[in-house]
Amino acid sequence: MKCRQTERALPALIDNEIAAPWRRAIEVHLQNCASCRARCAEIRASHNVLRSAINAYPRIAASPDFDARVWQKIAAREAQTLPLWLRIDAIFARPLPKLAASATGGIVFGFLLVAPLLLANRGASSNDGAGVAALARGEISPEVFYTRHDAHLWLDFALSPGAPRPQTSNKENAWNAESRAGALPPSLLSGSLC
Amino acid sequence: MSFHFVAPRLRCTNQTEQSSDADAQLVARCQAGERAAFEILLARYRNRVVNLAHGFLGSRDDAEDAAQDVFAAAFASIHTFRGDAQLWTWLYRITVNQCLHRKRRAKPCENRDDAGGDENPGTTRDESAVVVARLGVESALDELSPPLRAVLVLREMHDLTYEEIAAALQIPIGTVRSRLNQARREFKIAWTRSEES
Repeated sequence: MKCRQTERALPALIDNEIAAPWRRAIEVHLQNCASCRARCAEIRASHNVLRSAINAYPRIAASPDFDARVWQKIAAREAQTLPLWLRIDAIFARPLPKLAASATGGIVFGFLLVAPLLLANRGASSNDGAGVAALARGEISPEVFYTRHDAHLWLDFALSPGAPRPQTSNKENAWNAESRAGALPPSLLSGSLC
Repeated sequence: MSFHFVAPRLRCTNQTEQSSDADAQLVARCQAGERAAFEILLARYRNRVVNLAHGFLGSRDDAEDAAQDVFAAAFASIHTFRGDAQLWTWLYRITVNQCLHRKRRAKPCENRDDAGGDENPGTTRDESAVVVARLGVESALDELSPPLRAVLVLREMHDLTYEEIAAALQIPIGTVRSRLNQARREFKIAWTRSEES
């Protein structure tokens, strides 16, 4: 056995981490080689110093509430494994539901902003017959009624050959209004709507 | 010619074999959902795990917190333990991973106990010397990289064999041997420097 191989094996030899055949071979070499023997003693002394230094490091005992805290952590982990629908906090901790919640909030907020305007124009755009009823009761004039319902455009289109076809989609509005407006003035009912 | 060291199980006495058998039974009971069995394992290994974490992290509070996380993780994944390794090797592996994870997250020099540690102001000269020695060891350990510190702590503080360290860190035995040599060299240099200063 050579000195270089022996020196490589010395830490493991000192740690008792070497197989018996190799141990015997190294020990034979050490008996015959003074320099390797000195090196072995040096490493052993170094290990002992190191070990005694490290052994100065305090050994500590777990605190009395250690087990209780372990069980708390176990319970917390188990709570994490509950179905998602049972955990509102977890739902909102995820990015996608956060995004969905933000989007829903934005839509609701936007609706609240726009709702007054929609309600203000409701009479002008709805085809629920409210405008017709108002017309029948004489609360609004036929001009106002047809202005609101775009019906005058369709009447113009129906009665005047050169009039442009209306681009609005309120044809049905006008038609429904007409069909339900029994009290409409005959002059306005003389033409037919397309 | 090259060496192939076979790590002998020098400390694999009858007592440890019986302990392993008992561990295997406890693990089986834990896997069957018996919490009382886990309480026994907890009582058996809590101090070892806390001390191992303390060797890594240097702070008692951090060590306890990490050890609690280790047992919580062990409880959650005990069904995956198939008995290929010793139970405590498995626990050591979880502990090492947990500590390395915490070391990566922690800022440098953040996780150290105070100079006084657990000692009170009225310590004697001998106790002060112990504290100084401990601080020297701590600062020397802090200078090691986490992989080197891991092998040194497992070997010198916890008397694990090369094979057990290899199993705990999931590295080859040859790597354990080379890292241990390097760790000892670096620790000695750092410790000597701290002693001189």
